[in-house]
Amino acid sequence: MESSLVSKVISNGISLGTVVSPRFKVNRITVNLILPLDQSTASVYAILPFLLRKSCEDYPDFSMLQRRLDELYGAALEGDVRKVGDNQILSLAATGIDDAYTLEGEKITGELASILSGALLRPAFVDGGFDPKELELEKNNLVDLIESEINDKRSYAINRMVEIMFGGEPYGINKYGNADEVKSLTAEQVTAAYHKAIETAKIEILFIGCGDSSKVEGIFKQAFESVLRNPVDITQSHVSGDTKEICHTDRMNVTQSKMVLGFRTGVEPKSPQSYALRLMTAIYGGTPFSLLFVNVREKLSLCYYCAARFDISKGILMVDCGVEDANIDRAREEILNQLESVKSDSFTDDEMSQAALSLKNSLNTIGDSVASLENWYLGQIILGLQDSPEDMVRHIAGVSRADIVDAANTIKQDTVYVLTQEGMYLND
Amino acid sequence: MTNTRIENTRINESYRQIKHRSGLTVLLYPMEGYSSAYALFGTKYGSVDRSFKTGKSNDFTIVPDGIAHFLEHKLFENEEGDAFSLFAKTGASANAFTSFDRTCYLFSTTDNFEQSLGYLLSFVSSPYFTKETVEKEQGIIGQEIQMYRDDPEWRSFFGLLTAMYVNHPIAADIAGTEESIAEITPELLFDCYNTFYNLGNMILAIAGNFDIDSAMKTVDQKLSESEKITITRAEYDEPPHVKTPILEARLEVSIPIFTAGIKLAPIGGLDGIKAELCYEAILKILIGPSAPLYRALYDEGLINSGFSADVMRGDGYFMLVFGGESKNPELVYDRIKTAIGSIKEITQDQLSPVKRRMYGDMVRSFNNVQSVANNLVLAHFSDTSIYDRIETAANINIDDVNKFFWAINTEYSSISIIKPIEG
Repeated sequence: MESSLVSKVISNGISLGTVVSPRFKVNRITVNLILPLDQSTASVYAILPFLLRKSCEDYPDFSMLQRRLDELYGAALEGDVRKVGDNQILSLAATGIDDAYTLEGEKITGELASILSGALLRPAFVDGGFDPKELELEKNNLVDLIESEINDKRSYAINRMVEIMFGGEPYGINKYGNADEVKSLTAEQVTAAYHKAIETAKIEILFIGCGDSSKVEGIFKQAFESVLRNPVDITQSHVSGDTKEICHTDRMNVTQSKMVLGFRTGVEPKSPQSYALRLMTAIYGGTPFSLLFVNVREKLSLCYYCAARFDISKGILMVDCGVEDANIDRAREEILNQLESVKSDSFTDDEMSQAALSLKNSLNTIGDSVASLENWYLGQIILGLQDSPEDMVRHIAGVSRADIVDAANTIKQDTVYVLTQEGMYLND
Repeated sequence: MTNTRIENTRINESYRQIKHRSGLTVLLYPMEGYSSAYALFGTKYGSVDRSFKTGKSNDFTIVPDGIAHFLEHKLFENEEGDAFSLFAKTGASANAFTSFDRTCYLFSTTDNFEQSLGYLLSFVSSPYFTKETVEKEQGIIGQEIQMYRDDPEWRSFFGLLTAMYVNHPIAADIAGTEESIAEITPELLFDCYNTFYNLGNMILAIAGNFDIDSAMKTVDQKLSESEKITITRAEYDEPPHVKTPILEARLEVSIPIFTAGIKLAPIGGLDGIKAELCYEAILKILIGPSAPLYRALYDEGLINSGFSADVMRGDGYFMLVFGGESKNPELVYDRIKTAIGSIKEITQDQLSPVKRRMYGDMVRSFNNVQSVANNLVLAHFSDTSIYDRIETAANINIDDVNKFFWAINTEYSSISIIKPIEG
């Protein structure tokens, strides 16, 4: 099923993108404020979605709003922060079942859009600003959220690697900001940041589901009519192929060590070489029959998991693994050996065609989920691309063996990060 | 072979239930407009099946903890290599998982459906274990057990089960321990395989984009009739009280993580669904995001938006579970228990909006190929249909809810806390 996005500009710097299909039973509407990732604003912006999701002028009380959402068949109003390249995205999302499935034929999608636009544009201010009591609570929660990243060692290690590899650059900034800065935020600062975000952000509204988006369009058009807007363009992410070889070890009380390797390609998101890099990553470490999985995990039993991912927004490749202390060096050596085998064209036709088939399968599955579609298209929009998942399948089908080898040879090692209790990375 | 169409007018959908001549139950749920098909081939066999016998023997066989999970790992490979290499040829994304009461092998694919289904049915039906491959797997699973040891949420959850259950094997880690898996031999694996991988104990559920006839043609080709056997599982004399009221451990976490639970009497079948849904409603009313107590705990900074509550049930266990992160887990736990003890009854006014939320959640679960296939399996293994939940949800009333509410005894509860490492 083709899942193309239909996009139109509904106001100054505000677009509405829709994917509508009768296969769904729900509608998901998200408003995304796209802002440049910057150390001075990351924390103050990050707290906004968590404050906004809790109330609005029509439902100034959190419990009252939650009760109304219960009545709307368990609709959800959620706030979160995302990072795509050098951009910080503040998202507010409302998801509910479609009007066709309500028990008494109630029309709920329009009301959900109104609640969402109300939460974004008519917050329940006290004396012209955010309620200091609410702010204190959400500051504490955001600090906890940042500090609890340590609980999941795998993603913690990846985040630390990115932070070190991109030290001093926007991409190295945590999407939730910094705990100490969050603690010092005042209601005045947060309220001012809110007004600035609403005024300057490029705004992408996405409607994915089975319902009628025209009412939603009307609601947002009207809601933004009286809003002062001076939108700035989406930041083009800085892509560099210059490497600095950094080795960093963090010590922590863990049973299994984690190692993350960062590589740079210097390939821009819009370059057709990014298609070859996607396929190259799948061959190298993107599937359970990839070179890393078969050799590093299965044949040599060096790691419990070992996988590669490509971040198109920055043109970087990451390999992460869970490894016993004694095997850290050997695992790294073998991860690099396998990379060499792709660079030197020593992978089989089967390895290539199977990776392409697997990639095709995962791309074609994106259209079966509203959340995956939303994530896909938001990424495309921010990178200035317009491909549907099916378009990407066609691009990948056009990648040749020579393209893969060329793409692999853009890959240069940058950062090695190790999280361990006792283990020692010999080159440390 | 019987072939029944089961439909639901509320969401206007239907599926086929086929009792195949091999003994296998096949549930087929085509979904229009979707690109992928999701197939699950599963057995009603999980970590709780520690002791069992078939009609052939008089004595119960007692097996080491973690063997169902071990068997799943071993079945995933054959003489040539692992199952992933088979699915590499079709592009399907394949996986397997073991839970308390089921083991499932699955794939999701947008192309080459029949071929993928053929691989799925074949590899699960071709056990291959030798002393050497069993020993190698003991090392791999040992790593997996270690990895979970660093996972605070997993540790907190299993800590709770250990605290709550005195005799029931649900308290054992699904993967077992390094010691228990060391006892596993090829012979024991074959014993378990021949018992629980009998097709009469298994199910094939497929949802999404596929053709019913070609699915059945593949089943006909790949599966032959299996011997009829009866499996008797040992019953556990589980007292109503908990083993210990509190368990604590320390790990690298930023703030304490806790899981608390209240133990209830187990109920199965359709009555079990009713009880489960009533308790889901009760949890939403008492500690869901719209509840006054949730609000109070949130405003006092004692819980955050990660706090959640759920009902968990299966053969021989039934419990209310809630948890998240908190600077003071003991206080959250006390406040919730006190609230349950002090409320006289649930009112219709409280139930109505929550009932709508539950109905909406169920409609939502039919919006996704993967959740439809999983729910088909879950319903089948508890002797119900996938539509029984949505129908029961539409019909629960305040008297049922209060009957179940009054059956809660907060004395039968435990809490498991993972605290930060000191110093």
